[in-house]
Amino acid sequence: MIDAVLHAFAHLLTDPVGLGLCIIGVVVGVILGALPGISSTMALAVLLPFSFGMNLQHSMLFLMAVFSASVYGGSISAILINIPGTPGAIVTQMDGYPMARNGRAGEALTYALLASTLGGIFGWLLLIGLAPLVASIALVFQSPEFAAITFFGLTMLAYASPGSTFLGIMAGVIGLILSTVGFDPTTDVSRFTFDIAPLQAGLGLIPAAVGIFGVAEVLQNIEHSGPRLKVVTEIKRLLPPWDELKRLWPICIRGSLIGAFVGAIPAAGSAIAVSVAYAQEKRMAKNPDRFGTGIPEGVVAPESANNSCVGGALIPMITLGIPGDSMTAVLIGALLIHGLRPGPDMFRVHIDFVATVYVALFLAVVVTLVLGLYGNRYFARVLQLPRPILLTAIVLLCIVGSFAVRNSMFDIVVMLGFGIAGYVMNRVGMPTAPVIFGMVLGPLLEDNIRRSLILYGNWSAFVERPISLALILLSLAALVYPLAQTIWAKYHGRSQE
Amino acid sequence: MSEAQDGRSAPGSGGSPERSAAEAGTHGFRDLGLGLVLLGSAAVLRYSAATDADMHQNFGLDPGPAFLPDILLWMLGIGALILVFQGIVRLAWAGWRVERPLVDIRRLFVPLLMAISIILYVLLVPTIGFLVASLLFSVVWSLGLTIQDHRFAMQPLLVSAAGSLVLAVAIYLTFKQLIGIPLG
Repeated sequence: MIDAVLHAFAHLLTDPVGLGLCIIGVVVGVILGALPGISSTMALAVLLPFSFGMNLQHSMLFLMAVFSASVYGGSISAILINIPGTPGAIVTQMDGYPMARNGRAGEALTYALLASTLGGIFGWLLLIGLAPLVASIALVFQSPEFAAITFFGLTMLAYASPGSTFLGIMAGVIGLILSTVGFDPTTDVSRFTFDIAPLQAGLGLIPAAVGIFGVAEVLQNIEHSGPRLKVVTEIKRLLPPWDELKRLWPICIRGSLIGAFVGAIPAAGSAIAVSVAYAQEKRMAKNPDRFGTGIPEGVVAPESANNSCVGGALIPMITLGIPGDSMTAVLIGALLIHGLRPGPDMFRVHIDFVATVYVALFLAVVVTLVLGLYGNRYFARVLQLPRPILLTAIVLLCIVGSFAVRNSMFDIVVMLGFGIAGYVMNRVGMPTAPVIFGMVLGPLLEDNIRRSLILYGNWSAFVERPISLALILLSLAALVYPLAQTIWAKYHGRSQE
Repeated sequence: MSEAQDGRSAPGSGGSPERSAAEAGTHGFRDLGLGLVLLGSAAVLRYSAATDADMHQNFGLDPGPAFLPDILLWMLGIGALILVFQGIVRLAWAGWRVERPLVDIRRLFVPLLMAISIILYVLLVPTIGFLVASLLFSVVWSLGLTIQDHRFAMQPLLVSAAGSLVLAVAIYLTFKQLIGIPLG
């Protein structure tokens, strides 16, 4: 493994095209992440088609750069206009914006950058430390365990999605149903195609993700005129005082640890990690009332946590093929385009790819630091980009990008369908991400359930094998818990809001 | 089931009675509508699967291609029925009144135009090609959204028109020349 990583490092560091793509990915990722209304998932989905013409290594470098940099980019708008660019920056604004209003915008941006870098490195260390371990455990899994862990992952992803858990589970079921459209790979029987020829190849994951994460957001954005933003444009001093910087290291490390471990839990996501990190620091502070008034602690804790989530979220993706969050679901789509389905076999059959992911994430974090230190002033200017041009360009990218997957006009229609569905779902408060989780995990779930039933002849394998049984019980608990919680609240008069 | 998780106030769960009733009516309407749509979808797909003889052949030990869809469609159907039931209960509690609409219909106008324009784009591409369709799409929409934001101020309109033209050409060239996608 170490040899493969060193080889990947040597190869990528001497590859000007790869480094160039990493730099472009970071710049575009920071810019899109910084723009309010464009989440990291949307940035990744919209830019994904650019990777189609690249080889696997280059596409990973580019996408990892976009992924990691967009998470940092979210802090720029949180600090300068009090609107988080990404869900992971939702807490950063609480102290970042007051800092900017107090004339410390540059310092707040630098704190966010340094904390993001340290967080990113922590997440990376957790990834390279834990992923081989998880993969080695998963290597002994057979189809019942895989079916159970896929079911567990999907349940957790639906459970943790923002909004109603019940609607999240329903959205996950819809995604699973959609994943069955087209030819059944085992029997070659077509399902739910309604004699529409392009449907026989199934619904494309990329057009679906681009529609539900990209077009749906744009449709919501254009409902009304853009907000008049008050941008703090005056960035005087970038470097914070050394004494203050020294004092903040422990906070940064604590935030990174929280983020890395929360990120590794499927579905937990950066929004949860930053909230936990911020609350933890506030609880430990001598004077908690200062939080929210513009103190660097309130920027460092969440920013270190949200970036360390990136490495954490990659662990279930690489080792089990289960997306840790919506961004890694899009990344799995990119890998499928290149003919790879992540899972424990990756560490045996595609060790070069795993090494590339490690190196790509590390490079993305370092390049973000370097470009951020020199370019934060310029990145901040993107907040003044005209909204109409930006939204139009995003829709155009969604259209052309969806076509580019299979050179099919039908995929543009699929993308639009998912865009409209995503928009309606957002309107009625139904989480959209579980649909994509279901589409990613559906083939895996179906294949492993059917394989188990063929091999063992009945359902007993799922309950006789301890890991499978434990995962199924955990999933059922996650499904039943909300119902029990509601009944408990009703009968004991406790509000669960 | 979903009241507590939603963070919504349930019928009779506190707050001012008028506000709770208004919210229950709105949410009841939402649940009923969503439940009926999902129930209809589940019924159509279930019928399609049930009448497809190929899906129900005997595949030996393999439970076959209808196995998972059947389970999932039952789950969707039951979930949809729960939503319908919940919607009816909420609406009944609110006195069958929906005081606050779930969606302001006027807000749907621009998103609807966008969806129609993407369909037009798809229809026009075979005739006028990707480049011209993209230029038309981006100029019209960037100007439209600029008018939405700034009314008819000349400078933003010019910036939008020029910017969108450049971006449309850049996207076209990137995909066609750099990535090698056969855009006509």
